[in-house]
Amino acid sequence: MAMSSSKPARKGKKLKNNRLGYAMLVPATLLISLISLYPLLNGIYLSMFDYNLMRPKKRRFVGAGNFIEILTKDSEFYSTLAYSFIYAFFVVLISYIMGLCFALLLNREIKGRGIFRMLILIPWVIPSVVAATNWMWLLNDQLGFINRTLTGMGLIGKPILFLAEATTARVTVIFTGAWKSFPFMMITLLAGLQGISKDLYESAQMDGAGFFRSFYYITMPMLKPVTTISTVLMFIWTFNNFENIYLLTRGGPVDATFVLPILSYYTAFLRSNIGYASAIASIMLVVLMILAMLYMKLLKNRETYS
Amino acid sequence: MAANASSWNPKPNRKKILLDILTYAALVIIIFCVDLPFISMFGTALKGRSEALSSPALFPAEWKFDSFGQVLTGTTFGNNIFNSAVVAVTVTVCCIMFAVCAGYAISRFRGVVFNFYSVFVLLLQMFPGTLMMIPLFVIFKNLNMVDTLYSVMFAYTTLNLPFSIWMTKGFFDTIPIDIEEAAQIDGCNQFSGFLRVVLPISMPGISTVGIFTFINAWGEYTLASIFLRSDSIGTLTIGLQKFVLQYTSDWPALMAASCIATIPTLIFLLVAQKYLIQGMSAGAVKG
Amino acid sequence: MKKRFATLLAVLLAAAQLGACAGGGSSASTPDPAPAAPESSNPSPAADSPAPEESQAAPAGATKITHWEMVNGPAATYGDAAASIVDRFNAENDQNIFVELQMTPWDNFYQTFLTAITSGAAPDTSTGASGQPIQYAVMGEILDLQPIVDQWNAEGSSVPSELPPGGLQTMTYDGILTGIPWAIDPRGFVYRTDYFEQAGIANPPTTWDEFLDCCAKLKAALPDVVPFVFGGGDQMGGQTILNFLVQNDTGLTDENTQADFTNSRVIETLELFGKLYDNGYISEGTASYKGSDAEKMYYSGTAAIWFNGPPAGLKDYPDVEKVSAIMPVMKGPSGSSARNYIWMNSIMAYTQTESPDACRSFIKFWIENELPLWTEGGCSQVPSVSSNSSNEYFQNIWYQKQFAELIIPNSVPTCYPAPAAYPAFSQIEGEDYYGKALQAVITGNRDYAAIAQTAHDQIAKALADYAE
Repeated sequence: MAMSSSKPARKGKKLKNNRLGYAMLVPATLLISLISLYPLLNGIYLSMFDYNLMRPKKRRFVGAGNFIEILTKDSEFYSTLAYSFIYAFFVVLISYIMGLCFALLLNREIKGRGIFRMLILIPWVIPSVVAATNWMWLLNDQLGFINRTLTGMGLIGKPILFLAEATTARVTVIFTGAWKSFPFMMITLLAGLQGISKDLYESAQMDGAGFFRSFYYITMPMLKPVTTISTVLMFIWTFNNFENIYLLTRGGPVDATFVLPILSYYTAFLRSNIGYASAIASIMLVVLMILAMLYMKLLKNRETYS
Repeated sequence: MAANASSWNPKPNRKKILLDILTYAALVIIIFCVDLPFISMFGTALKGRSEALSSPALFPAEWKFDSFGQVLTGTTFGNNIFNSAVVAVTVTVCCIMFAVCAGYAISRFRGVVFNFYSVFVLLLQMFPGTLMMIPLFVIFKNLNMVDTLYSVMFAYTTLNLPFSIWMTKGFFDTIPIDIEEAAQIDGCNQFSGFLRVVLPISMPGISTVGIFTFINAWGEYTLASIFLRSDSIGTLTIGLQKFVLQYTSDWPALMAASCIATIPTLIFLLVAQKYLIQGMSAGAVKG
Repeated sequence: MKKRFATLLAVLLAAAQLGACAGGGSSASTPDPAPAAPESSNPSPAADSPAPEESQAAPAGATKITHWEMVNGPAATYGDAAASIVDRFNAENDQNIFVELQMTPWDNFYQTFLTAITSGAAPDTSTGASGQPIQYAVMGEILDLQPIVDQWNAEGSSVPSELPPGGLQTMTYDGILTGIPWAIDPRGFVYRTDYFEQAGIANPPTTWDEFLDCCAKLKAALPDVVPFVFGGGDQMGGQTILNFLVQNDTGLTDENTQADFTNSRVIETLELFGKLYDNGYISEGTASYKGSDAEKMYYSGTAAIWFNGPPAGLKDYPDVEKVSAIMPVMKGPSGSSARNYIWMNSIMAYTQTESPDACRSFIKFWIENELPLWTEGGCSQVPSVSSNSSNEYFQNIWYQKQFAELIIPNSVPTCYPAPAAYPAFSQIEGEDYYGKALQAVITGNRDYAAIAQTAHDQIAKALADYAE
């Protein structure tokens, strides 16, 4: 999780026996090349072909043809891309805020901390299909616990259509996505919090700093390395996640929650158009790469100024 | 948010007690909301069939454990749990070994390869998984591994490596290099210095990697559904999915099955959460 | 510290050992298909796998084929019933064929099949979705099953004539018989007789106007009950609108298998759903329901009419079951006759097999001996062979009996009004273009012409893609 930028303790001081270093990379590299890298390169290769699985013999090289078609003609791609961004952005944002709040709460030395931590980690370990089935039933407009409770308390006049209306469905899947992701954020942030020396807070208190000041001037800066890497990873994972939305809405109602992983899945396995699907996936790869680079650069710059 | 303030408060006083009470209250409410699907799952499993569908209450008036018995006798969950355990343990051990080696190499050695390795593994995460299925299937077919547990073991180990490498690298970064140099003066070569000196003090971090990997391997579904065809080697998620698809009408049984599938992980988490956070704070995230 | 590390290392190694051993053990205890499949000439690849408790090991020198059976009934019983048929075949066939059975969940099946076939690891035979055989036939991956029919004819068997009329013809593509229907999966409306009585409805509706009227009466008499429920958020939504489309003499294409989703009969169907929604005859959340949500709502008594297949799960809710019945078929305003549609599910074989004749022998045996899938397996569909479906077993199950009497004789296949199944159907169904049109209506969009046009264009594009 360490950012390469911040290790002043042993800067420049590294071991020299590079042969050992290469040897130690071998097992991981072998596995990664075979199981991650090959499929990825294969995907990039196929993205340059007009390749429909229904007509394997008619496969032909089209160069950038698929990319040009996607970027210039495919309106479905752009509308999907837009929501994919919004979805991933808000899932990361909300799960980060939730994770941070819980981490602060659970960083207190209270009795039964272990049990509370376990209970908060439940969304992370509950199988997606189980979570989705339960969410659907809880959110049902006629019999769902949530709507019935809210109506019973007189808070709403008529049931909220959590998944049956374009706008609400878009918001609902963001929340269930964040619900599934925040425990990861919480763990990494909690670990970051535990790594902050108490002396820092004590001296800050002596200087008369209140909670919010020390939060702003000590906690947040010290959490920055964790924040960077956990948000980048979470954005990538969320942007590429297929299950959360597919299990809840299948991209509906009427494509309201359609995202790029579903589009590439449909293109590959329903339209059988592997070449085109690979091109979509390659574009996703490039987009994510650029975003990650910009984001990390942005954070790094701000670090040097402060 | 007021939580952190008291952890550096020198004397427990009335303010601390008040804050504790507030913390507990907040935790109970939040956990209720966050675990609502889980609570409803557990409550439904205890209901009778008609009650499960018609009653809005989370828990039944009278607790019935019939559904649990029905699931345990009517499914292959025992076998599924065994398969999942075998896969998860193997994957965890392999992943730790490979990640520790790679993480150490990136943290300690100089050169273009080492500098860019972690960026390279991050990059591999950016390609959507669904499209990797066909090439992956071809590879496993050529290795004669389709429909064996080896296929998912290989796949899970690899897919968990990037994050694990990042984590372990972060750990090793926080361990001063002087320790190894001291060991080398005592006559260790570098590798045995790594084994005897660096690894032991990295145990907290390694346990974190292990827990993450174990939980991911335990809960994976998509790859397993493509590569594991025979019933006898189905993992828990496969067993659960088959059950979910077939028992749509028997809602309590479905929920009982879900509970049974989730409980082993919860026990594991309860034991592991201590190490999880210890481990992460011991270095991985400090940078 | 040294000691602690030594202990830890020992534990790790032991764990690795355990993992490796157990992993090897558990995959060896199943007949491993990988070494056995390619070399049928090899004396006994499976024989040397050390698995004494394995009852299903292939005999030495056997021709081995793998059959993927979709989970078409309750998991607990259906798998056993399928296994019993396979075991019988393995014991009785005189060509030394050994079939290995692998149960395959429906979920994600597009990816499962396409991945395996594209990677050259197709099963030898399988059951599957109704559009599947023709789709894979386009790829050249489907084995011609005509020899089975020829053999039946040569033997003077009654099976071909007992299959649903036109069943074999719809499965023919490019001169080959791509699959043989083993089951009919009908669709219909299950309804609450007690609710109908309370609302003063004497006879179930036979036209759409009567249907609307019936919903109005239900809503007036039972304000807490949703008159009509279906799963609008998954494939069941598409299936629901498809049923109303065929009742109005139209479908996803025209008679020449060309896109035809903008005609007035389609618009009438969309308008019907608009009325159902606007009058509160279906609940506002319908567009988010999965088929299983609709099922739960019917079982809980929250809904009076439910669109589905044969309701096998009702046995778990005896109070609801005793007041349930199947509605006779209805007719739309432009419909020429009252009808529903049915799925025809086929069994097929793949050209990747090493042993085409063994596959055909097995499929022939399967069709002839499939009855235990129902009598033991509790499959909720209906056997395709009529002598099986007239078995006493079906007379004792009220919904099977009512489906057989009221629905199946008045049904058309999913490709209606096209004369035969067509390859693009799988894509059209998978992407659920017509289901999305329905979703648009039941989320409040009233621009029927535009909705129909969108679906029309999507269907046309899918058809054109396959025509290339």
